[in-house]
Amino acid sequence: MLQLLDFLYRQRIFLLFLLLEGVSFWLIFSYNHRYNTYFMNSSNRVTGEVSDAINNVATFVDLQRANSELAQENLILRKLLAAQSTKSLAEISAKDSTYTLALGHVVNASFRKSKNYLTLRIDPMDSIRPGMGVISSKGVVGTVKSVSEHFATVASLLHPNLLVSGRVQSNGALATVQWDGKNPLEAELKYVPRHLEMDVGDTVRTSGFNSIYPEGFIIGHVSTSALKRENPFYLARVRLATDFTQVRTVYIIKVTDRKEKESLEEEVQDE
Amino acid sequence: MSRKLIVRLAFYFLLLVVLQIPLLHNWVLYDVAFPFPYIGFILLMPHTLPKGWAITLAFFLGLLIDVFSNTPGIHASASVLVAYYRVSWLQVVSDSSNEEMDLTFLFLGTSKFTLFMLPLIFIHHAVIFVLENEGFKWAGMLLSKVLWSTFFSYFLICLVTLSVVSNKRRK
Repeated sequence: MLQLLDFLYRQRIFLLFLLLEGVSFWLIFSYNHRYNTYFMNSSNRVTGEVSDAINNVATFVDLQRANSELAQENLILRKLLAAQSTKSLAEISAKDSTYTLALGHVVNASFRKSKNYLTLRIDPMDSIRPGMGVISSKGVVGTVKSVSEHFATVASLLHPNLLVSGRVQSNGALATVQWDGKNPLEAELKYVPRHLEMDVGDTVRTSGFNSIYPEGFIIGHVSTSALKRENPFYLARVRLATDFTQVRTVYIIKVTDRKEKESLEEEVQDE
Repeated sequence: MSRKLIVRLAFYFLLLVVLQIPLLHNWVLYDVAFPFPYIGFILLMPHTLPKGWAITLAFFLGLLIDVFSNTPGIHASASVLVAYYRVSWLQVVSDSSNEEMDLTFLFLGTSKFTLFMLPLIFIHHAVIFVLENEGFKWAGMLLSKVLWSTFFSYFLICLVTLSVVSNKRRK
């Protein structure tokens, strides 16, 4: 017994080494599986504030571009509003009831790594929860991974574990958009069956089937598509509508009828 | 620890670790060189520092970087590994167990300093990129990332250490 203790004492540095490596690997492997781990990532209060301060300097330099982008978006919205006014008020409000949007400011974003995240400053009154979808004025951005009071970490579309259900507009085919880790401007477009026609330049929008993104938000445009003899599906890529190198302001989608939809679907699956 | 050493370590900490955080996502050359100069601070800690303290410090330093880059555990594990084998490797390289040995460019000389630093930075970066990549897929891209990032980090660390030396000479 004494010898054992003596041995352990002599090896204590090595044991400490093993312990620290063990903790590190536990963190690595548990990060992808746990739901809301905000103390260990950038939505934590302290890191959020630091990133925010750094970002304030960076955005100041970028104000002019951000301004013109917002003006552009305003213009599009005004045109939309003008088009809407011909419809009856009941129609508009019926459409609005399925989801609401909350504002988020990007304080930190990565796009060159193999798994990319964004950190957002959010309003604590918006009651944002993990799992909500995030869009920008241009297109789909990602899904909220974890939330603290003032900050949220978003797994961006440039994260290989994030699958977005999409629909090719020209032929109505359901497809899955997934990033393959190579190019931050493009992602793979999977499972478009070969009997449908698809061309380069076709728009891919969200299908609304996974209750994270409502139907119709732009994901991107088909950039390459090939059909090999042995494949049942197209080998295609989409050029993402969101420019992850530039994204500054995003909207978090709160789907209001989500619980209802999911519980209904669960009921069906149980039977 | 002399006062001079503490000042020098504080200087390293400021330039290598604190500056790493705001510039972490922005310092990228040609999409392949992602520098992690904070490893320089771990390597340049005095070699007389007890190993237990060195690896604990390396763990928390790595964790600090991890928290900011959403990679919990990856930088911590790589830093602990390098901090653990640092002194043994130094003894292999410099073959003198001089208590007064100074881990600077001037004292070790260019070739020994490079021989000490480069392989350890390479291992550190290789661990980070392989873990981040979850394996060895796209090995060519992975290797070029590791190599270029290693050289970039080494270059930055050299700049910082040299600036300390020239400060001293001026006095």
